Amino acid sequence: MQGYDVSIGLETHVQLKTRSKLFCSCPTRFGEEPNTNVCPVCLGYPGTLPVVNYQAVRLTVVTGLMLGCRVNLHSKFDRKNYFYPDMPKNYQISQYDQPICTGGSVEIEVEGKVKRIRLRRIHLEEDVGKSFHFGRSSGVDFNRAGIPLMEIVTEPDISSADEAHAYLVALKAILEYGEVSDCNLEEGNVRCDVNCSVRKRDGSRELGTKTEIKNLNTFRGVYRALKYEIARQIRVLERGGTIQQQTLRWDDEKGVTVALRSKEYAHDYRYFPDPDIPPVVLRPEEVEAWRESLPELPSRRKRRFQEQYGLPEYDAGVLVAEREVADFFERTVAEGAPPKAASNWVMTEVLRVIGESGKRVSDLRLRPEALARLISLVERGMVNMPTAKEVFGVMLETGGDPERIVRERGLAQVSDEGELMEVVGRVLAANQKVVADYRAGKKAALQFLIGQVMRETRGKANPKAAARILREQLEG
Amino acid sequence: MPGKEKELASKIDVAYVAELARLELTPDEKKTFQRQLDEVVRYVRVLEEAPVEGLSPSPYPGDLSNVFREDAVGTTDIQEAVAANAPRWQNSLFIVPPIMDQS
Amino acid sequence: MALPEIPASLRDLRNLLLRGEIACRDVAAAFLQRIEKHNACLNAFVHLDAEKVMAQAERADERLASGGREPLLGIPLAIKDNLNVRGDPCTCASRILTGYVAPYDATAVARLRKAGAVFLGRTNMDEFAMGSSNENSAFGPVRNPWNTDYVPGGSSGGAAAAVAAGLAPAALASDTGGSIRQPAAFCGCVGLKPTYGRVSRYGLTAYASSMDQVGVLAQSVADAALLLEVIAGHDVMDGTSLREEVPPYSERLEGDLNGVRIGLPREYYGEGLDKEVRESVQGVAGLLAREGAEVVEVDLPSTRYAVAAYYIIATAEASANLARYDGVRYGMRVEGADPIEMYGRTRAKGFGPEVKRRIILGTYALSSGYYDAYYLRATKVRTLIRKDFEEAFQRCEVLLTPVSPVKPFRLGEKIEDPLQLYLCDIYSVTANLAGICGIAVPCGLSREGLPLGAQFLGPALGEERILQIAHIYEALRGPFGSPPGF
Repeated sequence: MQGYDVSIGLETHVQLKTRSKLFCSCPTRFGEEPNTNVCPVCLGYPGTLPVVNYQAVRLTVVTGLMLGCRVNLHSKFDRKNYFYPDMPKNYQISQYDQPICTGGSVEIEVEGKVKRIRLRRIHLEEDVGKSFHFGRSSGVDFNRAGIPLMEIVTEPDISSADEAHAYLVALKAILEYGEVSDCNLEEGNVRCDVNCSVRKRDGSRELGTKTEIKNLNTFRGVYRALKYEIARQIRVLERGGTIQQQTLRWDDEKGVTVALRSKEYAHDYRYFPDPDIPPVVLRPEEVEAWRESLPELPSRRKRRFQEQYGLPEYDAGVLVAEREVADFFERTVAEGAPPKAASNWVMTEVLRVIGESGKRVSDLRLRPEALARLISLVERGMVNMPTAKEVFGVMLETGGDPERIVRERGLAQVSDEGELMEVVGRVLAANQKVVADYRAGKKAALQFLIGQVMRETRGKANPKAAARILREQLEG
Repeated sequence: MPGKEKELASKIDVAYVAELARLELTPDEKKTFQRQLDEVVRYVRVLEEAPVEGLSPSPYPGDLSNVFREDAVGTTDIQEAVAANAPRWQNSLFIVPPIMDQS
Repeated sequence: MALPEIPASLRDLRNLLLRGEIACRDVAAAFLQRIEKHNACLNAFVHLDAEKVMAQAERADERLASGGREPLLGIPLAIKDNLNVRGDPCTCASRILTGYVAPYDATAVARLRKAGAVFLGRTNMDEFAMGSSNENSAFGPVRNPWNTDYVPGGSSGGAAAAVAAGLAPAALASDTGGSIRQPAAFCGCVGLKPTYGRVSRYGLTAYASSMDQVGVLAQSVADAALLLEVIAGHDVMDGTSLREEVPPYSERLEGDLNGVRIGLPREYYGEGLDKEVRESVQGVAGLLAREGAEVVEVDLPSTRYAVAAYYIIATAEASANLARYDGVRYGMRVEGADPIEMYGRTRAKGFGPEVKRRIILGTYALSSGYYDAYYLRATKVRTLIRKDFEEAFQRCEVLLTPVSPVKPFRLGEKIEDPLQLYLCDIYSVTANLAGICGIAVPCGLSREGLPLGAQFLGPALGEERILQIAHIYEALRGPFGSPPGF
């Protein structure tokens, strides 16, 4: 890649968190039987009319506020005309020259370097249906048709696949923080069109020819497609070839970009104002009220976590990446857990469980109050770490209270001097040879003996106390 | 809304426009429409004479704004009618000829 | 069975029904019988299910018997074939909607249904409401009941012919550029186009969304007022419907003309206006002046751009509105090797020539490089036209104009020359461009014995006033009479 400048622009389509579609009251639920979440409006039946979902407008404005965009108090909807079987009306209701938001930026960090990716605009539009291909025919499901999408368009400020990936991760975190989208990638909540061009760094100011890769629905896909496409373009130029302006598709299995069949003529979308939808005029007070209720954004929260809780930068970064996780952490601390201990538990145990189960934090039966109490048990020496992890497992299963689990299962740590003394006596009597080894200078034998004490107490012995008593007995 | 105002052609490219509009025309239709629409297009150039400088456009006849609906889910039970109206319907999908450029 | 004589006014009919002097089923049967007798000649109805009509009438009788007092209980109405009625076809007189059955009621239809009306059948029209002679119908032309060699006007030609010939007491229809008023004038009945947004467009199959408006054809102004009262009002399903309260129009018809200023726009009486039409509308002005109205001349200087602006805006919107007829979800399909071929063939076979012409013109007006010169400019001209009316209505309460510059013409006379036909819309399209209200009332007969119409235009939400003045005129004029033989 040396000697080339790369320009990448992303158009990210994000499904907004609404109950109903953008222009009708059909539900936005995912995964239903095809063509069940449909009505005459979203099927484009003759005579039907769109009426804008206010929540979708609000969420788009909230996004714009979070991303530092200019909110346009006057915006309108336009019709974008083209024929496609997944388009119920053969025009898409979108926003052309008066989007809800313009400008703004997203801050990313790649290899320790902070960079701002400028945004061009954010507009609201309706999703299309989904088609299935059976070889000799295709089938169309319109459940998705009319679902509200916000399209976030960047300037071509991104200069590598890594930056594109970092942009998407940062954007996702912000959108989740603002509760504007679930950003559920499996359900197609976030889809990207990527523009990419390369230019030899030889002082020429001419821009490279762009290619567009359509409809990428994973961040990894965006990353891989860009890696491939950048390399491909450079290869073509190195061989003295020219880049063709074209629309591509990413074949994830083969790991290559493939040109889509080119149309016989250039697109001519014939945008014009949708006469069915009166213009959207927002009151400044309305927008101010939304601005005031904005959540704290991840970058800010990260700094606060470092300052307020004394967490290392790494911990703070991991915790704030997802709003729910950061909330969980803060509530655990609020319930009395020491911040570093809480951070360790959340970063290791909670995130491990989420990673393994694919659940969301809010789906767990584990509550922050309960985790705080478990941490308190460890801090007070009531249970040792291995036991605590066992209790944690039970809490995840049952949602139970840690003290009660410890009590019911007899897991409380044994620190009682008399009780431990008795166990130590038994262990020493049964392991005469090991005792002799120790006394002969094989200090490592102590670990074996501690293990035996733990076994006798079924793990409940306070390991520090057990070691001290053993040492006293062996050396005394 | 392509920006620049092109020099107004006095002829309409019926074949191109019909393709955009997904209308297959017979040679006879092309000829007839070309003649009739050229005449109409010549006529509508009277718009060039209208004193509209500085006026804002009226895409709507009135001054409505801000008509929204609440984000509430309604009941939809038109499944049977939807299936019955579909020219081709199978396994709850609208069946169409193969869409090529999705491969 | 001898069927009862049906009174001319809806109010009288309603009173007979309420007093039990006549049953809803007898009324329905009487209209069905008239349709049976005359429709073969007029071709006014394109779909009619007699059993369904009688079943509705029976239910209305039961309602009446159990004390139901809905305002239109048992009153039969015809519905233009571009308004969706649940369970009925709604073809817009187009082949492309063959087989389509509406799964829902248009809001205006639902309101009539709730008011107890009995739906008689679907009336013929110009395909997708594009036309002013009703010759552009997949079901063949409608004939004018006054002389079947003549066109009934359009696009609501079937509704106008049905009402004029007494095949229905009134009809629900739509007006995008004169589609209610012009056929009303040609057939000798009353045609009301309300203010844009006064009646919900939900369920009206769109032609030009920024100008389409649901309205009525009736035998009298009073009947039109009664029907408007039922169908008008805000609808959450239509973002362009108006929220203002609906006055009881039918109770506000009486009044006098003292001090009423009636404007005659000079541009509507100029070149191209047929002499007989001019004289008969001037006759209306004279009659009103004698009763105390003050007749003043006003100017609507942008009128000369109106037809051009209308045809650009209407066809641009139509090109998008009619894109949905693609053979995928409903209606007709001609198979093809891929979707593009299917679209091209389906639309080639499904649409008639006038619809194709307008789709092509509208697509052109929006296409790359032409948008500013055509669509954008036309919407600016629309701003001019709105201003013209605003200024005119500072000087007078209503405007009196001809509905059409021409008298009813013969079938086939203008079919080969679309532009000439478009130019005839000059006096009607302005109301749609500006979103104001208008009503056509019969005001005379041509030499050939065909009706001529006058139009009252009022400002936005001025329905109460134009209905009142039209009603006063109607009383001064006296009964207009029925087409010979009907």
